[in-house]
Amino acid sequence: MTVSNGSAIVKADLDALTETALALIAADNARLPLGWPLALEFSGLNASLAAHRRTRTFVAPQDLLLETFAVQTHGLTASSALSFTIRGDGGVAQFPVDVLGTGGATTANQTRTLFDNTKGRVDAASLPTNPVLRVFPRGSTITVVGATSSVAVDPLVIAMLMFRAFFDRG
Amino acid sequence: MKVLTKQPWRYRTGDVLDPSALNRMWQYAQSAIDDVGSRRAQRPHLILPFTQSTETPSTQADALERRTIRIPTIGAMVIDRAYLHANLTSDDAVDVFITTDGSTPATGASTPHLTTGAASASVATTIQNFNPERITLGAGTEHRIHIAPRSGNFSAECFDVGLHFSSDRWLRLGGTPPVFLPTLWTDEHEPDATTVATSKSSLETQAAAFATRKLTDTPLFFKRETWSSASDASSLTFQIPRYDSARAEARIVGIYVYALASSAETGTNVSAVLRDESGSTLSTAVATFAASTFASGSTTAAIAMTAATSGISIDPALDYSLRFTTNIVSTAEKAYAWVFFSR
Repeated sequence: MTVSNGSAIVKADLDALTETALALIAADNARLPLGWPLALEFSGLNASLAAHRRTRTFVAPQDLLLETFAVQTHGLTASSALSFTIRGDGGVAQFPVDVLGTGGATTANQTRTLFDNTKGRVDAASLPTNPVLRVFPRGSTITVVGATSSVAVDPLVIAMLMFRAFFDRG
Repeated sequence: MKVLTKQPWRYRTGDVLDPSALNRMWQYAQSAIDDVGSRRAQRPHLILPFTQSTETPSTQADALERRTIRIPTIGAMVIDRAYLHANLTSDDAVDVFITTDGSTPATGASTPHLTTGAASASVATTIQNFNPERITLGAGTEHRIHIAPRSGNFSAECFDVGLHFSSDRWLRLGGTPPVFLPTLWTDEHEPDATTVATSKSSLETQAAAFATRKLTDTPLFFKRETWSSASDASSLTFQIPRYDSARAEARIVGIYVYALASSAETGTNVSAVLRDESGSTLSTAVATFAASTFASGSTTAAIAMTAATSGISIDPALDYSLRFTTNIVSTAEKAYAWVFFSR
């Protein structure tokens, strides 16, 4: 639409002045930010590994929503137990997220914990299977601890935390 | 604010418009740009493990490159905070340096930037340190983080440097934030369609920036040590999961790989290969060794893939993987890959 002197302006002309631009801004406003994975390597994870060698610790730079927890393994002892515990401080409820799996020699993408807004029970009796804490406030110290009964020497174990975080104001 | 695609009030054909009514139209769009555009900073974070779980502990006897992790950038990024989390034995404090070349401190970096502070008698003691100073990493640069004891020796079983980055969607590659400054009307204005058209054009130009700079860089880091061309490919393949949301858009805009070898490997190489869920190769970054035992190489997805400048589009419903490959028969001591997401 071209606005020109001398032309009659109707309602549609006024809407058209801004609606293209507003559509772009509205689409941006509704878009989710990139949920990039944080890759934590636990290569070499086995039953005899000391706790400090199978622990990763980091601090939340902003409020983080844990969207998905995915674990990839290769070269573990067949049918070995595998678990990860994610714990953060500063939240209203500080129960850990516990994720269980079974290791094997071949590449395995462990069953993913996809958080779907189902509320977990927050009583201690529900632990360790209910994922409870998934929102980590800014400044929270988050620890991810892996454990396995596998005795394989040098497996590949990677834990991926998919966070959803929004743009901060600059 | 909630942004509506049409003006939040109703015009009707036949209304007499006063200047205030026209101004509200521009001011609403101006507020929308100011509000949505001010949400501009992404805060990616990484853990850089200098010693992995069963990796031979780092010691002072290691060559500098073996105690170094390189940080490449595509767009400008800022290190907002740095953390140290370590379990080690040492004769003295072990320090962390952030430099441009292995010796020159990065602008804004302390010397050292992080430290264990003192000797450590037991790996059972967890040592933590923190530095809130900001370090600006320019677009297209490479910086280095290395660790070194002040004296004597050290043996680190866990030595993780955590970095909080900040990157600005508008300033990523030298851009400017969108600003819309319409010509507002007063009762003294003569009706002039040219002024309206100018404001409309300016608004559309500024709003178009939202469609072209949707995200800024978020890096993903992989490391693998002690492997060769004979290693099982599955042990060198890293899944890159996504979560399934059509609104979570991303593109991979760069892959950077570098490696160390245990002996001179002139002419050999280490590659990082990005594949889609079906196993098709999407992009490959290759680091070719010269006469030394160190090699680095990088590619941007735009160069490797297509003539498009916006990288490799990622389908959020699918998984992707990055795999190290090499023609080194002896041992690639360490290989590192950075994958950059953006939009």
